[in-house]
Amino acid sequence: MRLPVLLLAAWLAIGSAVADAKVYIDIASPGSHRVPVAVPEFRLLGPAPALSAQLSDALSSDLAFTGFFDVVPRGAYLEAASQGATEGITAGSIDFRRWGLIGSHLLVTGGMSSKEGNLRLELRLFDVLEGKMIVGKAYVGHPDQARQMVRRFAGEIVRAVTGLEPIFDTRIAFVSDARGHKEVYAMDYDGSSVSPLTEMGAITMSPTWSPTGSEVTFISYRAGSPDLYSLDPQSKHIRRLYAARGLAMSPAWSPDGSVCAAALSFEGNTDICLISREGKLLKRLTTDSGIDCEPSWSPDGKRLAFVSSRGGSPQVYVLDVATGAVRRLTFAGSYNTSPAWSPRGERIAFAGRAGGGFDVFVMNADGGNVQQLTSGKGSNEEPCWSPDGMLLAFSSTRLGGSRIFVMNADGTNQRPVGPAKGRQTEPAWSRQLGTQ
Amino acid sequence: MLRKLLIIMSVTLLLVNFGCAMKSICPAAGPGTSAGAAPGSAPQLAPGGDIVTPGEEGLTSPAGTPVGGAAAGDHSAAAAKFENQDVLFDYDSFELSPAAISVLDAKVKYLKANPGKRVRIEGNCDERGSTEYNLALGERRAFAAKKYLVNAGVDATRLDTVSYGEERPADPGHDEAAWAKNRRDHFSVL
Repeated sequence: MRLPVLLLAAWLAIGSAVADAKVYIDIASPGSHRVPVAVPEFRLLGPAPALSAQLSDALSSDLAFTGFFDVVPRGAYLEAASQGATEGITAGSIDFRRWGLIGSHLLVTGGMSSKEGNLRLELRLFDVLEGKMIVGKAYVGHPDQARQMVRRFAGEIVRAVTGLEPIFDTRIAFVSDARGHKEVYAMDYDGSSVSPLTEMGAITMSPTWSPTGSEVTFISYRAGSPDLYSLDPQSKHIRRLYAARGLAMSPAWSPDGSVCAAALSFEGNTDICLISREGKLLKRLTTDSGIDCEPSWSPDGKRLAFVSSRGGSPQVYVLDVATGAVRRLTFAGSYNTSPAWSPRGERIAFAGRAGGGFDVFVMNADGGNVQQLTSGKGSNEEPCWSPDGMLLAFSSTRLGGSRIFVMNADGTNQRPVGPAKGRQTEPAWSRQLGTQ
Repeated sequence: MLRKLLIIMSVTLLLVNFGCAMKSICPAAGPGTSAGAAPGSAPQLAPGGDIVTPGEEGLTSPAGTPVGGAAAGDHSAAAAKFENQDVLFDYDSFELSPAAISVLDAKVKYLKANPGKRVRIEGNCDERGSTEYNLALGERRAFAAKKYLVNAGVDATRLDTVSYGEERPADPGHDEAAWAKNRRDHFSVL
């Protein structure tokens, strides 16, 4: 599942001349401006494993995945100015004008060589308009780790251009019934490296990550009815977090990881409660006679968005944890569910009934400015945010069976990730796990 | 597969805390959901660990396979009729219709005629709506039936409840005919 720790014999910052304070992407409105970047094939600087095409393509797709970049297609590249001479990979040997002429603002060059059986990969990001290097790194390691090196540099690019922490070391947990019944799985942010997380042997669902990524908490019918369990994804150690007399579901760890919100039933009626890390019921937050479930924390840990039928149909409400005050957020539509509060704080995604199925919507945290992000064939449900708040994962049946999809936060570029066999649902996106 | 499951279970036994013997098989007991829990009190793990082990019925049954038809034990005609008649519900509702009530009245008769029998009431929903909301709705449906039976004089300790939400449809179809069959309480004799 996890490749061994990157073997770095040297990690040289090649005179990293970081461009000062230039804003490449305004992350407050990222969809409005994607930065064009060119990623020509990496050069062989000496004898080296023949990897260059795949690696430069891998870097291109990592960058494209984030939604921050428009990768300039290779077909648009201009011929090198001087015949016979190959452009180099360092600033002094690059003709930035020809990259500027095709509309590229950024350029990434790569050079590979072998060193005592190891691969040495030099990567540099340039500002085409200023003709300067923004960041450069050299990685040395086993050729098998080439993909990780590229991901790591993609992360450097994202940091330099957006100021955000990259998502290339995040994982998405999800539910699949590919093995005959529902269990929890995980995959990388782009759908690669799928692996099973649970082998409960019973209906198992609704995964959620703890804030540090050290735990995945989920529901399982292992003991006959829905209880809460927690799993350490590294050691696979499972503990039962909460065994309910009725049902226990919708686990959601607070942003500081100190408590888990959950929906527990009392005499048939489901309410939002808080459970301690040790599995003790701390507080019951709702007591009305409607169904209350699916809590989602605000990033400041003070409020919970949740679903309640107290108004006659399932709608999204917000609850102040300290005071218990409740306010309704959704008023349009007969069935609104699965709220997901953006880690950036200002927006809440949810699934709203539309036609025969559901679609993914976003609204402001006060309920205003509702926008529909999906439409058309199939049902789109269970939205969840990437930790940088720039992407949304959700489940969609538009291709027939249920698959996990990812889209930019503005609804563009909706694409499937992960397995196709069986039905995949309930994505949960980890924070950065820091091991790549 | 079964052996692998047993090995996993044995390993899990060593690791699970809370001092509960969760894997002990208790033929008579089920997850304790007696009417004794007052609202606001902490739902507790039933003492003595009397929890039924994971659904040996339908553990790996694919969605769409009706569960509970082959309950352990009683295959008499009366029991079969008891189990085969589901209580049906309207969309997003847990209210007992007149038709539902007449089905429940028949169940009251059976239960009073068979005082030794224990029953699990399984609440279910159709596939529309969110997975979790449907778990809660199924729970509501199971409890609505239980409450009716208790009010009609059936001892609450004979009645277990569980919700399967939309996870165990009786009919795998995607139209109203199928959905109507899935919005149900199903009764399994334990």
